[in-house]
Amino acid sequence: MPHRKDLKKIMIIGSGPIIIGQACEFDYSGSQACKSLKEEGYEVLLVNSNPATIMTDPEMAGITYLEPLTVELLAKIIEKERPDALLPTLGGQTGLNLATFLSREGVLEKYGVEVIGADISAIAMAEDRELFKNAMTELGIEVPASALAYNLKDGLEIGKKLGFPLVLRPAYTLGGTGGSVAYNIEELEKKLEFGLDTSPISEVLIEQSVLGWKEIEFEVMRDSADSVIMVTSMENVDPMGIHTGDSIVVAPAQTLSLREYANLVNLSKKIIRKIGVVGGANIQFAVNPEDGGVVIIEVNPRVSRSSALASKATGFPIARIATKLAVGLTLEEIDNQITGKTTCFAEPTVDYCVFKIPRFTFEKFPAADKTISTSMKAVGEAMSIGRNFREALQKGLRSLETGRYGLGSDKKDVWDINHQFTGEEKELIARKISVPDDERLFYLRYGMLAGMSVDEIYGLSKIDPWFLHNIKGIIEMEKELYRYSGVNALPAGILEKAKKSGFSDRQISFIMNSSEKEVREKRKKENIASVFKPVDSVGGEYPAEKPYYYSSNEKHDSGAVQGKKKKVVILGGGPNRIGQGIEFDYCCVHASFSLREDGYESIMVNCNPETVSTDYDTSDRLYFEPITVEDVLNIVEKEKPIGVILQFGGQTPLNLAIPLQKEGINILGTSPEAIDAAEDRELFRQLLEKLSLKQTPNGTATSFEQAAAIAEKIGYPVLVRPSYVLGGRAMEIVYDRETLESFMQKAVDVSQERPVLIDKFLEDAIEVDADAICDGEECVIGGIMEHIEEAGVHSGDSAMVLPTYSLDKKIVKEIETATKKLALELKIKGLINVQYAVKNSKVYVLEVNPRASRTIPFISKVIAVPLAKLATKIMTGKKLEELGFTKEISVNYFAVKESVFPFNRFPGVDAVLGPEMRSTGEVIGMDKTFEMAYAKSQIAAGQKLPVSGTIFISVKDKDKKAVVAIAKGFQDIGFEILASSGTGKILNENGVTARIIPKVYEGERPNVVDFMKNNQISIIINTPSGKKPKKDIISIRDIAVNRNIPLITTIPGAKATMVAIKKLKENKISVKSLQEYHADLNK
Amino acid sequence: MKGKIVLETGEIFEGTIISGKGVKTGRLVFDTRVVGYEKVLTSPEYSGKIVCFTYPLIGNYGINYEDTETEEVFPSAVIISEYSEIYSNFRAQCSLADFLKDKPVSMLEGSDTQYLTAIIRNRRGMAAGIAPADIETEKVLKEMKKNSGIACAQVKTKQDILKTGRPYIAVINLGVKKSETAALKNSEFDWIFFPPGAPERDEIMAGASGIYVTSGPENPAVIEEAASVIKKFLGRIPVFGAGTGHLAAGIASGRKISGDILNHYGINHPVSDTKENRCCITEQSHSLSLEKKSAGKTARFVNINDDTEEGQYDEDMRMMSTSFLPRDVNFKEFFSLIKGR
Repeated sequence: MPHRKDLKKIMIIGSGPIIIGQACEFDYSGSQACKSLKEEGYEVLLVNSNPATIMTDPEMAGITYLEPLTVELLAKIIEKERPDALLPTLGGQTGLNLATFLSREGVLEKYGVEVIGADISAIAMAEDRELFKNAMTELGIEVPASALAYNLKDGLEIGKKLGFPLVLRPAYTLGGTGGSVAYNIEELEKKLEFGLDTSPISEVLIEQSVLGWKEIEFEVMRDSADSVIMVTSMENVDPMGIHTGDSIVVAPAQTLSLREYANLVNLSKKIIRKIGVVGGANIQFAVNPEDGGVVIIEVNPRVSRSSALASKATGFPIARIATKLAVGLTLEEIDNQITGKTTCFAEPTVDYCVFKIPRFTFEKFPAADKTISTSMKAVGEAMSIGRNFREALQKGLRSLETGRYGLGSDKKDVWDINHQFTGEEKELIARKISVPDDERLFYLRYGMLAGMSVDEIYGLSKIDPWFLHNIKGIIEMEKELYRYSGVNALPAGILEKAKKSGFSDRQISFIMNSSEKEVREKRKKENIASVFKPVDSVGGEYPAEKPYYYSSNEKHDSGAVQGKKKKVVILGGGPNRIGQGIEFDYCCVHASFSLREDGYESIMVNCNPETVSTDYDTSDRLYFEPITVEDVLNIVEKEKPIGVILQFGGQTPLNLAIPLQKEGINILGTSPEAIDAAEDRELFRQLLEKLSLKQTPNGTATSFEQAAAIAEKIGYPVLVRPSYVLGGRAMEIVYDRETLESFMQKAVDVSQERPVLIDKFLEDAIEVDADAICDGEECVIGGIMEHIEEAGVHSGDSAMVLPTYSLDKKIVKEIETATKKLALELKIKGLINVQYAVKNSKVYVLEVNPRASRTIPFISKVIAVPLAKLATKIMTGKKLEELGFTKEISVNYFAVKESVFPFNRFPGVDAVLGPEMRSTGEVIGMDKTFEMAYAKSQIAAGQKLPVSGTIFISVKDKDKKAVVAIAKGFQDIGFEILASSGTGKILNENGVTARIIPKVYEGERPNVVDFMKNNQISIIINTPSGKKPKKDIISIRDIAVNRNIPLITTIPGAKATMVAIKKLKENKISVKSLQEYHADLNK
Repeated sequence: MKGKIVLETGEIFEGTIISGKGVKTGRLVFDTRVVGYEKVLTSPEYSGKIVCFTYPLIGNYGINYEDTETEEVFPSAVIISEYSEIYSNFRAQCSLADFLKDKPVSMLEGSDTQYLTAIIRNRRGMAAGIAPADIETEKVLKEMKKNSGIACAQVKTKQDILKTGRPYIAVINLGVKKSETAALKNSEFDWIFFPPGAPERDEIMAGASGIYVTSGPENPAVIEEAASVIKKFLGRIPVFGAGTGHLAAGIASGRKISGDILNHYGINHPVSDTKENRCCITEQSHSLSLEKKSAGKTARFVNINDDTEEGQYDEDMRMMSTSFLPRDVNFKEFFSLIKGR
């Protein structure tokens, strides 16, 4: 069947900001959807609040709304744009939920919008527990016994009836938020209360647990002619009980025999037919390892994180195909672009082993519980491909960029290979194996080193013995390597065997006590080289026109066809983490597009399966590889590019600048020396002096004593941070000597051999970000953004507005000039980001980043200039003049970038902003006025701004004066004011009527927590003091996060919120597309 | 033991022989399935073949005898990337290596199967040999020539008869496997299995309601013989051929075997059913196919990837065949042919 002609305009809802459980995979799927629909000739209407995505580039969809994803605003957009159909299956759970709500509110019916892909009843059948259970029972598939609880009492009864352990799943939360496992009645009580609090409708599903069963997933696709294909199976190495997003996953499944496999495939096909999805679905089963019993866990009637993984693992682009199926095409009508010969009516097959390993960032949340369970905590993931399990696993570990280069023997082990384990250590190991956290894989190794048998470890972990034996195989290889001392003594056969088991040169050099380079040279001498193998979706059955590649230590290279064009390699950013996420992938993708436009062959290297950069058609060639010196050198040696671009992928590739240059590789753009000059504190000081720019008093230290001396000289508070890190890792404002001592240790650790920076901290300064593009001779400012929060809050975490809204014109000019001076002095070829603090009309330079910054996609969208693309052209030799970008763009509207935080995943972590970045994603709010733009940004970030109600204010002493005007403002627009005793006293003295309510530790009831729990507080202003906060202050913030009560922790944030709410009361919120904004620019 | 793969061109690939003795020769094919090595090993169609598994990890779930297709092992050798000594599955009875012990098949691991697959893809039907490393290549080549690559096993066919008084299906057994006839055995028909050369064959067929021709080794002589048997009853009694049986049925109806050698081995072959206008994923294990130009209006199933014919249907002659492993729906259709709808 050809595509439907009765539809003209199709609406896609994106998934909004990057959060835990919903990351770049939906940019990947949404971008594919936009491209696919355009290929078929449809007009595409896209709504997404996330400016860092490729999908929201103005040319991806014809009509793009960067508006908050709420039913109210979507209804307005539908009313204005009148789409014929809504495709809800590509925007994650967010897209699916919004489609359901729009239908429930009658919006879709009112405007005659048809839901395609999965209609509302299909969504309901998969999402509604009762409907789902009935549907599965009809198919004869077992569902774990469960019941719904709406209060504690019923819940406890249900729990007793079902028997422990139990899994708790709060309704309408995402990625398992608030979910947990309860092993006894006490735990059930505690965790159920938390779950009921988390669920917006106070509903928790209590489910019989199948802990320890195998977790198997299938990706299936169905077309409108009812043909169904299976894309791939996936097996979680971590058994049931750990969220699949937090599990290590292998594809295809490794431990199913044909009979079980065929049975699950048949069930999957029945299920997708029953639910009636036209497109893709993800189906999760639990399989009892003792007898093969099967229960169904979940069906996602949409493109999901797993389907992104399945796509990248097989070369079968599920999102693209799902989109085409939704508009009526059938599977055999869609070409397989990878082979160029076959169609999509085929079940892909693989000739390799794929690993997905989750990336956690617990280091950002020291107070968080590191245990991994049913509520997802991973912020990203890496995918690796190898010809065997061991190779793929070790490649996966080095793809993670956690400082590991494989499974052990990489300088990072807690215990070395010959360690004699004490009883206590063995106990710890056993505990770490049975109660998993992010280090479990390494503890499996320690367990084996400590003499635990595979059976014992299986008993503790329920990880299939097949996986454990393979891990043991790695350790045996490692032990074999230890028998030789020195690279020269290492026989070639053993070296080859080790490489086949995935050992990196780094690991081998550690074991041999030599340098990585020596190992590399030895390998070259012995002719042991990595070769490249294709991902072709057909297991080699047909020649592939456009496969992508992975390295393996096999005998024959089946690598790329060498073209005639000049080649450029782009290094990606690796797995998502806090501080390095989708913004950098966006820049890499733009680099690739730009190179292709200009007739270069673009070659992408990355290992993040969620991204657009690892899509098969983004670059001319893709290498799915870890971003390490060894892996990159292998590729560069094979491809022989004219140069490598590494200023777009964040800090990861930047760290390779010097090592790659040492190997004689041409680094395109800004020189590594200039990068060094900006990062090296001493060189940087000299640079600023030369340009007569101001810097806050500072010094560098490698020990506590040095640091203390500097701090005393320049005066507390000081900002302490390691050099060469991203996202404010281990950065902190220190108010006294005692804290400095404890903190220095951490900073020295993170900074490794490089010094720690100590800056005088400017309290209450305004922070400003400037991004510019420079060709070495000319520099144009992309945008100057004023932060809402004061300096001291990490720039990745604070809200910022473009253009500036309170700064004096003179100051802005000064910043502009300073930025240009810096760029020209550093001979920047590409992008530069400079951060400033403004205090008492003085401009201080905080730091210079000679690379793409997090704000590049945001600015590019606001000023309608693709900065990353232009920067790429500069790197390959063009001038700004040729590119026609010689003048700053001034916009006649405001855009606010707001950050989104994962605090609801980490109960007990203080939800307060500081110099260490902790946000996972961002949203944009655009409007004519700053106030409305800010209001939109808050709504988009999930803060439900109330226009009336009660506000609770409790601020530190220093802020008490400043909060008076804000409180007054709230009072004037009709809010009732509650306050803690200290704050309330000042407010009442200054003409605000504030009712004083007790804090928890004051003992009186009802206290502030009671008010919150009774829904009597609709917004909270609570600024933390510099010192350690009191326990009950944390609990106020904790409860606010869990109950989604807007929580503001800075004075400037409170002020902006107040004016935004005032604006919301006065004016109706309206919608406007990005293309309309851009048209305004030319007026 | 160190071993090698010798191609008919004299190219050599090294590996390790982990099961089997001496020199083994056969036609080189690759199979793309990720699970199901036990079926490949025990399916008669692989007789005379050296099978290269494209999936690199083989042996993971061991062997369960219930899952085998027959009691014997058919390929002359298998080539794998990595053998998994460890197996893990609640139904496993032994390891793959234990299963192969004393069986007349060699298993070689450690060669670059991805590369080898690309070679096979470009030179389909090539002969090859597997031998211990110390055996001279010349000798292997000679052996290869001697057998001209095709040394299909004579399939031992056990007597399999069910007579309860219901109408019966005459089954010409060219090398049937367990999974093939489940639908037949669950049907309302009795059955009589017999080899194509059985003396009482005409008598059996004359009384049958339908004739089913099974899959089996791609042995031209056997195929011809089966065709001549079928021919006598074609048009009079409904005929259904599958796998090699499809070739026999084709020849019986005047078709020829194509000179093109295919590599249709695996469980993911997409086939379009032009009669019912739908697509299905099929399990296949064949190199031979019917010549396309000899097809009349009877061609029905077409391979979506390479456009080769995968089955025929002739309502007038009441004859149908599939080159793939028949699915329940195909048998259902056959039964309705018998019943005249």
